[in-house]
Amino acid sequence: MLGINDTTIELWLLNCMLAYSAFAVLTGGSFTLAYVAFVAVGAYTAGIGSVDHGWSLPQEMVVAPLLAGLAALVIARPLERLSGVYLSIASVGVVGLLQVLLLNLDGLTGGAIGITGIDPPIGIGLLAACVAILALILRQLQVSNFGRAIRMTRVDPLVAGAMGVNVGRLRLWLFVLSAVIGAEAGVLRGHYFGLVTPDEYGFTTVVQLLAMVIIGGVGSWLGPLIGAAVFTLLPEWLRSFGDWREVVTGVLLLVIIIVSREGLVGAARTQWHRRRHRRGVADDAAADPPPATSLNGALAGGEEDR
Amino acid sequence: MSLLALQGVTLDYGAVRAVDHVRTEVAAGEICALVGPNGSGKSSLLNTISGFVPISDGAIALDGVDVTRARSYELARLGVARTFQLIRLLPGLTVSENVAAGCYAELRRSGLGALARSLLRPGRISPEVAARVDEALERAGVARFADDLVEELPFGTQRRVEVARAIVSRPRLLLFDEPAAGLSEHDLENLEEVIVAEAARGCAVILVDHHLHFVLKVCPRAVVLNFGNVIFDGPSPAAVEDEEVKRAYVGS
Repeated sequence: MLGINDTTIELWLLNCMLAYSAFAVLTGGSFTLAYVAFVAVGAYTAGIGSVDHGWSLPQEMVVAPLLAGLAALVIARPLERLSGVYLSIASVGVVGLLQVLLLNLDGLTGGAIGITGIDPPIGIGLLAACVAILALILRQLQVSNFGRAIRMTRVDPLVAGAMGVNVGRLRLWLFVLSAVIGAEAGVLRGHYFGLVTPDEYGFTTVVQLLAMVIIGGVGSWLGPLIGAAVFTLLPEWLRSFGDWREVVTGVLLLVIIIVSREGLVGAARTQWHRRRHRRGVADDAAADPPPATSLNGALAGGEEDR
Repeated sequence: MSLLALQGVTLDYGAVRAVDHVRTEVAAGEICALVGPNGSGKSSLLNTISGFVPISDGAIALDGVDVTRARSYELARLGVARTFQLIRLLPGLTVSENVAAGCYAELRRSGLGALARSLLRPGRISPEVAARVDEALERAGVARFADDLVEELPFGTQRRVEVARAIVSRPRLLLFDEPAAGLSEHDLENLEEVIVAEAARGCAVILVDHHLHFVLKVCPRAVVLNFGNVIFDGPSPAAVEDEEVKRAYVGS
């Protein structure tokens, strides 16, 4: 029913992990799209580790985030000089660069064929546990003072600075966090499918993860869970559209983005406040008249530099 | 000793000198107006004091501490609060959330211990901080909008919310960038009340404004800028009589 079965749930959980990697960096308001490179680092660590060196899954889950975290610290240096669309382009460049390396270092990465036979396969239990732990951590962060700083930085970095947030430092840590999450997601993904190929970690994946985060909402830890669910189930629901499936998916995404900049979670929150506001206004109108405003005052103070 | 001391503060935007060797001091508890014609460098000076724009030359000291190279977040942590010429609230957040943002600097803890604590027990705002937020909302006259989203409020109310956000941290230095612009008489009275109360608490207040009537009423002292230079520094009633100030406003 509704296209929900064990496979879609597993894919949803995998997508949640991946989406959380993108979420971690996007929630700080910097439009950095290098997260897929860190997922690739994780997946190839799993591939090379388990096939060539006989590493265990826990070993990979320690090594991969360390590698990705360090790589993030190194890449952040040149990237932090950029902002806005230039940062986005440069960060996509990082993904492209890594993909070229993966294709050409075929002694290590298996080139275009990639690496097959990654063992052991993982099941729904481990995936669910990882997503649950990650969601809990991000939820706790969000309601803490760090979360307040993150939210200010996303909405208006200038104001965040005026409130005492070191915006540059905060974004750097979010970038590293994104790399660590991405690497774990990559390890899980490698083991789940049992293989890694370079074409899984290119621009298409960048856009897919971006879409998941934007649909769900960059403002809440719930966003990626919802965005990943929509993204996993929508193709199932739209099966009857046949070749038009992709088009319908695209239109739906556009509608969601136009309706709410902060995704489905943001839209729900705004609606909730609007409803409260309307109730409040009705109560106030009944209770007391609005404060008198003086036309003179408005004119005297009318010199706005707008 | 003065709370804020500017020594030869100079700011160049490329070849344009926006602020030219400004030297002045503001004491704790003082309310000082920073006035001047359009483009005289008032806002630029305010932006340098709050650390948004690094100065090209000179020195700034806050309570004897050199803050010449301090960035905005460092100054905020030292007790400098400001409002913005074009209101900058955080959309999507309620009024009380916006005001609570003003408490960030003092709530913040750094290090791994703080990270661990916030993961285990993230908690909402502590009762005493919550009480201060309520008090600031009350004083700025926006308590009844506490749970409304800021973007749905009228202009004057948004201004009040910004004022509440600036005073909630009990700053040592308050910088108002054209707080009176576009306000009703009712809103202006409230603003004056807040400013006077903050100064009485020992906070130094610098107020940039075009609204001369309001400035004369609220600020005993005025510093007048023209082309980035201080052309008058003294009691504000005398500023209106000063020949050079008149020339600057009318144009010679």
